[in-house]
Order: sequence, then C-alpha cells, then structure tokens
Amino acid sequence: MAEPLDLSYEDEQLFGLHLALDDWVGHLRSQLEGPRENRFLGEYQIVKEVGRGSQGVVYRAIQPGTQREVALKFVSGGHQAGESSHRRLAREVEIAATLDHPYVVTVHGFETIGEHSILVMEWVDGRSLDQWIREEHPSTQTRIELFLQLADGLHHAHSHGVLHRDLKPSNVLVDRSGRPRIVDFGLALLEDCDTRLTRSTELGFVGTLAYASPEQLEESSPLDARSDQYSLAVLLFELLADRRPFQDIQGLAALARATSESRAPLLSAVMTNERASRLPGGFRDLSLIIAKALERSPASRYSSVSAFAEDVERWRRGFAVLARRPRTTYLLSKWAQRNRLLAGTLLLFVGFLISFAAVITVQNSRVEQQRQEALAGWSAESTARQRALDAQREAEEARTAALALAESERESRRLAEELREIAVASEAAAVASEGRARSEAAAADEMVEILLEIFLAARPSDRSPGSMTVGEVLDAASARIDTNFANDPLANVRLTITMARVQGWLGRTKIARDLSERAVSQCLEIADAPVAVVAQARREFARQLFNLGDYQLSATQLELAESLLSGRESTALERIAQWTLESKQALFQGELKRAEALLLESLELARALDPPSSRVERLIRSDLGFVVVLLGRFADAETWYRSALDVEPAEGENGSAAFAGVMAGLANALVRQGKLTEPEELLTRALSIQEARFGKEHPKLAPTLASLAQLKIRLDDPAAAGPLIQRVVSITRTFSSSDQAALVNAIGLQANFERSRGNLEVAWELYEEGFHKAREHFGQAHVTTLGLALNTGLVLLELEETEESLDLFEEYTPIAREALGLRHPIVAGMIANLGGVRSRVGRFDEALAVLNEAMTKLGRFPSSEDMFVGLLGMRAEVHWEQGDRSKARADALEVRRRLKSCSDPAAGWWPHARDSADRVFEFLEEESLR
Amino acid sequence: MSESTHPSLLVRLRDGQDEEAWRDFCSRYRNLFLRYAEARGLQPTDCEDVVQIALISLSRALRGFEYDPSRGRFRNYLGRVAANTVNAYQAASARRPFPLSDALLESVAEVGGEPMSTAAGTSEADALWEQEWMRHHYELALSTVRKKFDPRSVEVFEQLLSGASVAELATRYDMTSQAIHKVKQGIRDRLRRLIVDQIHREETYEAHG
Repeated sequence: MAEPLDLSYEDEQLFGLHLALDDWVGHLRSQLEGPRENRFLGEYQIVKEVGRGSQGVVYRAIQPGTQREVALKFVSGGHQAGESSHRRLAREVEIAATLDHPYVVTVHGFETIGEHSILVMEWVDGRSLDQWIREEHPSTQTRIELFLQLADGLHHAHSHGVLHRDLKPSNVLVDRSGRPRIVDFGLALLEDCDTRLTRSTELGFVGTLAYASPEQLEESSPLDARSDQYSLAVLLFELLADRRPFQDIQGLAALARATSESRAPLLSAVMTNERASRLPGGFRDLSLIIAKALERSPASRYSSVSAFAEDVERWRRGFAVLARRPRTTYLLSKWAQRNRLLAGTLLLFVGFLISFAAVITVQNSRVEQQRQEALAGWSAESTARQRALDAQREAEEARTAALALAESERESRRLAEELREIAVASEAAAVASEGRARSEAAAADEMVEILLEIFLAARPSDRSPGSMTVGEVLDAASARIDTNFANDPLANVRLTITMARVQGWLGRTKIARDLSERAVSQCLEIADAPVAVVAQARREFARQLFNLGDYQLSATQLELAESLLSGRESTALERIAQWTLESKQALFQGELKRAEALLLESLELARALDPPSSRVERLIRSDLGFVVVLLGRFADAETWYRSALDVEPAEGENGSAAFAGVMAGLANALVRQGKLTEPEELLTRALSIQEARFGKEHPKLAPTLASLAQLKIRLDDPAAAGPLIQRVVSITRTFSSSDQAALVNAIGLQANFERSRGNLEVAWELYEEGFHKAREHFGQAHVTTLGLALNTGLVLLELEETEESLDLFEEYTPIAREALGLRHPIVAGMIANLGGVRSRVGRFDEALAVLNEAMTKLGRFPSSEDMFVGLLGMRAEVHWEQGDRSKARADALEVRRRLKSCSDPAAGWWPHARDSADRVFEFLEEESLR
Repeated sequence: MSESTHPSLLVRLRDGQDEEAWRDFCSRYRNLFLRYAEARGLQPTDCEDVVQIALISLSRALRGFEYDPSRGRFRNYLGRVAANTVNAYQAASARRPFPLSDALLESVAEVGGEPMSTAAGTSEADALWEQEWMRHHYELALSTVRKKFDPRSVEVFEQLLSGASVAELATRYDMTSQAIHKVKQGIRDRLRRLIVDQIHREETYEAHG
C-alpha cells in the first residue's frame, strides 16, 4: 500500500464504524440482513425479509392476536409507492380474495399502515419453484404432477375471471410437502376491464419477459386466459428441458422478435437424452402438446388451461393427444405405444430380411452415401473408424486391382497354353472332323491374340478417365469370346470357364457365377461334351456359388462334378441340383410354400443318395430352416437348423464357412422366437469362423453381423448394435455390385436400429425406401416387401400419420394374406394393425370384423394360439376404446385364463397379449376409482 | 501487497481489449448492480436484464474514460449509471415493452459519456445505491475475513451477528466474555482495514491483488 489511508467522515458514518462496538455489531447485522426484522408493522411482528418483487418487498410476519403466520407484501415508502401501485394492490386483493383453491395462495386482506400499503397473505413455508427444482431435483413424474396442479389452480382463477399475467417460477411457491401455490395475482385484472387501456397507460408492461406471451410482448390484442396458458407452457417446457424455449436469445427486443416471428423449438429437440429417456412413453406427443400451447396465435392454442392440462394427462396415461398436425382429424398414435404387440412384431420381421441374403452387396449409390453420412454421425469414434476403413479400403482396392491384373496376365498366358493344349489334344485325338480340330487350334490362336491385345491396352497404374480397368478388359474379352467363338461351343465353354475364374479373383463374384453357370448350361447343350470339361464347368460354378454363400447349390454342383469324374450315377443329384435351383428362384419370387416343397423333395432324394452326401443333406436342411423362418414357423426352423448341425460333417468340413452359415441361421430362428440367450454365442462363433476364413471385411460376414446387430437391438443395447451395423454398411458399400436384396437388407437393418433408438422419422424414411425397393425388385406379394410394408405402416402410426398408415394396411393386409396365409406372423401383425387403426379412427365395427374373422380361423390351429390370444388382447382394447367395458373385461379375462395354461408365456405373442390384458384391467380399475 | 504496481484496472479497461480486466470488473460489480436493481424493486429476471444493460453501457463508456478525481468519486459515477439504467428500463417498460435494447443502451451510455456528474442529488435512488454499495463492501470484506481468520473466531462472530449474546457464546464456546469481546474487536478492526483498502482501490481503480 502506497500510503496509510483512512475513511472519510461520511464513510465512517455509513459503515457505522463510529459506533460503539456492541452497537456496531447490531448495525452490521441490520445492514446485512435487512433493516426491518423484529420490528412491528402495525399489529404485525416482522420475522424476516423474504424477498423483493416488482410489487415491493415481502416479509414473513406474525399476527400477534391469532399467532397466525402471514406474508406481508410490502410496498416500501419512498420511491416505489405511488398511486398506481396502491390502486393495483387494491385491485389485486379484490380479485385474489375471491379465489379459494388448494393451489392458489390465500389472500387475507389489504391494509394501509402509515405510508405503507400492505397485502396480508397466507404464509407458505416453502421455496420458489425455481429454487425448489434446483435443490430437490424432482423426478420428471413429479414435475409433470406439479404442472397439472398449477394448471388446476390457474384454471380456477380463470373460471373466476382472473388472469395472472405474470406466471413464472418465482410466482410459484412449493411448500415442504411439495404442494405448489400460485402467488402474486398482482398483475391480474378483471377480464372484463378495459385491459388494453389500463395496461398501456397506467401499469405499463410488467410481466416477466421470458414467460410473457407474444401478444403480451406486442400488445397486439387484449389478453385472455390463453396468454397465461402460454406462460404455463413456457414453465412446463422449462420444467422438463431445464431451459426455456427462447433462452439463448439475448436482449429484450430480440426476445420479442423471436416469440412473435419464430416458433418455439420443440421440446423434443432440446431435451437431453437422459431426461427424455425417463419420460414415459416417449416425449414426442408431449412436445406437440407444449408446442400447441406455445403457438404464437392464441387461437391456435388450447381453448383453456384445463384443455391443455387434460391433453398432458392423456399423454401421461398413454392415450392419443389432441395436439397434433392440423391435417389429421384425430390423433391416435399412442396406440402403437400401448400396443406393444405391434412393436414386437415389427422388430421380429425386419430381422427376416437379414438372413435372406446369401450375399450382401450394396450399390454404392447416392442413397447409400447419404445413409453413410448419417451413420457417420453416430459417434466420433465410429466416424474415425469409418475414415480408417475408407482409407484401408482404398488401399486394398488399389492393391487388388494391381494383383488382379498381374493375375490376369498370368492367366492369359495360361489360357493361351491351355487353348493350345486343347487344339493339340483335339488334333491328336482326331475324334471328329479335321475341320473342328483346325478350328480349335485357330480359336486358341485367336483368343490369345485378343487377350494380349486387350491386356496391352490396359494399364493398371493409369487411372485416368478413358483408360480401361481390369474389369473392363475382362468384360470386353467375354464379349469377344461370344462373338468370335459362336461357332465353336467347346472352345467357348472353356474360355468362359476361364473368364469366370478370373472374374472371381477380382471379387466380381456374381459375374463369375453367371459366367460359370452359362458354361455349365453350354456344356449341357453340347451333345458329346468331354466329361472333364463338364466337370470343370460344374466345379467352377460350385466355387462361385460357394463364394456367394450359396452353399447348398454349391454342394450339389460339386457332388455332380465328382460323380461325373467317378462315373457314378448322377441322376438323383442332377435332380436335386435342379430342384434346389428352382426352390431358390421360388424363394425370390415369394413362393415360399413351393420353395419349401422343392427342398423337402430334394431332401428325400439326398437321403437316398448312394453313397450318401452329408454335405448336400446338411445344406438342404439349412435351406429348409431358412425358408421356414420366412414362413413364420420359427420353431420348425430351429429344428431344421439343429438337424443340419447334427449331420455328420464331411472330411475337413467341421468349422467351415458352411457350418458358420448354419449356426447363424439357427441363431436367427432363436431370436425370432424370443430366445435370446443362445444366439449370441452361436453368432460370435459363426463370426469368428467367417472372419478366419474370409477376413474381417468380407461380404459373407454381413448376414452374421446383421443378425448380431438385430440381436443387440432386441436386447436394448444400441451401443453394441451401432458399430455392428456400421460394419455391415461398410461391407455392403465396399463390395459394390447391384444386389437389390442385400441393399434392402441393409436398409431394413438400419431402419430397425434407428427405430429402436426412437429416431422415427429416419426409420420411416429408411423403411419406406426399403419397401419401395423391395416392391420394385421382388414384387408386392413378396415376404420381404410385405415385412417392410408392415414396418412402414407401424412407423407411420407412431409418427401419427394415421391415414397413411391405415391406407397401407388396408391395401396390404389382403395381399399379405393371399401370399403368406393367415398364420404367418406378418399377416397376423397386419390384421392386428388394421383392426387397431380402424378402431382408432372410430371404425369400431370394421375393426372388430377383421379381428373376429381372423380369430375364428386362427382358433382352429393350436400351434397358433399365441397369435390368437394376441388378437384377443387387441380386441379387448378395441372393445374398451369403443366403450364396451363388459366385453373388454371378458376378452381380457380370457387372455389371462389362456396365459395360465400356455407353456412359455415369454415366447411368441404371449407377452403382447398379456400387456393388452393388463392395460385393459388398468383402465377399468382407474375408471372404477373415479 | 503490491497493488500499487498493478496497472490500473481502469487503464486496462480503457483500451477496450483487455478481456481479463473486463471480467475482473464484472465479477467485482455485478452483484452490487444486481442488489441495487433488486432494492429498486425489480423482478429477478428484470434485474438480470438491467445488470446486463448497465455493464454493457459501462464497457462502452469506460473506453476512453479519463479519470478526474475533482469531478467526484467513482462510486457515485457507478451509482449514476445504475440508477439511470433502472430509470430508463422502467420508463421504457412503461412506455412500451420492447423499444429496449439499442435505444435503451444508448440512453444509458449517454449518462456514461458524462461520467463524473457530481449532481448526484439525495434522491431515494441514491440513498439505496449508497446502502447497497456499503453492503457490497461489507460483504466483500467479510468474505476475506472468513477466508483468513481463525475459523472459530469467525464462527463466534457469525453467532454474534445472528443475535447471540456474549454470555451465551461464552458458555457455548467455553470462552471468557473478554475473549469474545476481543474477537469482536479484532474482526471489526480487520473489516475496517479491509474496507479502507477496498475503497482506496476502487477510487484509484487498482485491480484486486
């Protein structure tokens, strides 16, 4: 310190430092804690200053006569008190004294003591709402309960012609028991007063800005109860989101502009995930309710605070809310939430798509790109991982291309040699005409020239536009083979086989498969084709099928090739090959029953094979499992898969990729049945086998990864599902080809995932995209299309797009029923939905008709009892919604009765049926309590 | 202490670039403004607005501010800004809810443009400012005492402040009345020195050490 300093005389006085020590302590105390304590004000003994508001200071005091504790709202003399304040208080009392409600602070009277105007109110031993929230951290349920009480109190005031006009957390006191009391109807004016005049000329604007309605801020129209409704909505918003709708806006003018020009953000957009996840039944509807109360135009809000509160109450109890998009007349989305039946069915079916693909390859389309971008947003970690994968993939692509070209060049030399050999052999054997031998020799020479010419034109290191890629070289070569060797079928076959192999090396497996298949069929057209060539063609075909994961067809082709070489009778195998091929086609055409029948016949033949082929038999069983899953008979599928695993493995086959495929299939069938413990291990094992065999990024891993992801979604573990889906997408993108089925699978999987995380809009877009693609590719009656139709409809329902959902179900339920039969879960799911949606739009009779009809037929099949009871539960709910309590009760009772005797209440549709029954009883009980 | 070697807070504020100086200023005076606005009867939410407006206009006015002690004390200047902000805010609110923002900032900033008005007057608003200013310094000093004094003495002193008698405390803390009297005296002297120091620094615009 530069120099000794002291206080001026004035400051000594101000700080009381001139006082004797004991007096000074008293002075300090009064300065720090307020000057009025333990003083009397009229008859009232002041206990403590408890706050200051725009209306003046508030004291806690005791009325000595009655020893009643009161709150004195005190307009201090001097700068604040004035005519206007006094008149305002007088009016406040006049109005507030008429209110008698548990959630409104009671006003005892109004007194003038000396120059002070004092409002005498009930003393509430509590805290202001904001303080209470900060200190108590009440649960979301409690907050909503509190909101409903405030709405009750506010509505009481409104119904007495009293507006609050300044509702905000500091005007709500919460007592020790958690009961809220609205205070400070100090701004309230009788509604029939000339509000506008008074407000602008006498009182000025005194509401608190953050809670003020746009019309308050703009003074554009006389205020009514809907202005308080707006303030209450801001308060509810803040209770739930811990922030106000416009809180980031600084400055008053900006706030006025914001509230009048822009819409309040949706609660769901600003709520933290943590809080949101604790809200019962999601918060989308609640967001809409609050948004309605926060509408800029009072006319768009609820007609009253009690209507607002009732809608919140409806939401809380899981019912349709009135706040909804304008174009729909009746809000009903809640149905899907209450009817977990649907949700469960939904997840069940998307899973179908996954095992569908022997192949998972996806176009590197724009759509996929966008999805990839969306996926990249999952987490920084996954983004980083994605980048790493991208880089790695690019490096690998370059390397593969280089290797492939080198490989191709070697192959072309080998091919030339082979062709020469053919020519020499032909000549030497002189089996047929001289001309043919000559032609083969010439063909060999010609082919060599073609290939050399093309290879010389291609420069693998040159990636500039216009240069040829290896793939293009091969495509050109294939085309030249067809034109140049049209008259020499055998040479053509051999060249085609070679081309298939080269394409296979390049990873263009589907092209390779097509080429090898063509080689086989060409062989069959050549009357005297050498056995060795035919066997070679079949082997090549088998190899490519195997690479595509089509183990079963592959196995028969291989067996056929071997029987050709060993001179074994191959008629049965040929027939199996034919049938399994047909069953595959039937499958993709959606003719599931025919596919199953063909496979069953094939199995008969396979079991009669001599010598037996365990490979063929197992793979037929596995395919049966696959088809039966699509038919919705999951338990049967499980049996088929288990029997496939039981077939004695051929030499070196144990632990093979084909085995892994069966395990993944079994896991799938189990997940469908809700058996969630065994699949994880099966899938993990399958995955490790496949990873060891194919590497980590091979398309054959995709179905297994997808199944695992699906399992994680079912287990409510999105954190584990996310990275798996990312891998699937990455793989499908990497191995770009145009496999629509695989694309649809990937889309369905992502949609499932997004839906499980509550991203309904995203899920809906994905489902719909998958649905359209499936319809285009498979036709509308295909199981994949129908599964996606069901999902699309359900998400539409959850998104409150009821009409669209209804249209979809009306259209597709008959199609699905025709294609898959009544007992298929997709069909039953659609029927349940159709019934439910009809009920929700008030078409109760039609709803009951569709449910009753289905139940009559389903009731005949003991194995479909769970579905029957599921529909019964649904019917109970429809009855309840229709207002027919006795029928609702009867159906719900029947559900419970059947639940008691069922073997596994956790399987199939049983849990959904139980939920329905529970809900109905809950409703009935609630009603009887009222 | 080395306050004298600290660059003047005001000098640092003057160049308008010193973020830290501004934060320092805000943290020192924010509460005082807030309490003053409350004492003037504004709602808590309005108080926040007022304090923000006052601080923003000060940040403008203090740029290029030259201190002239002959024109009055710095605290009076702050008091004028505070009072004017509240007045302008109330006037603006009474006229229309929302002409505020820039218009209001300008009107307050004009007050700042003529900073050393000694025509403080003796209005109620000024008395309130005086009282809040005094409380502000007491609380600042008390917070230092709480940090630096023997916790037991602080506790005894707090008990005295909350109305306990010396005899009561002597029993409770097993001390003589004399000892309690000493605590009282010691803390008062300490508070006095602290306040002297605080006011000195305020008037010479030194940064807190």
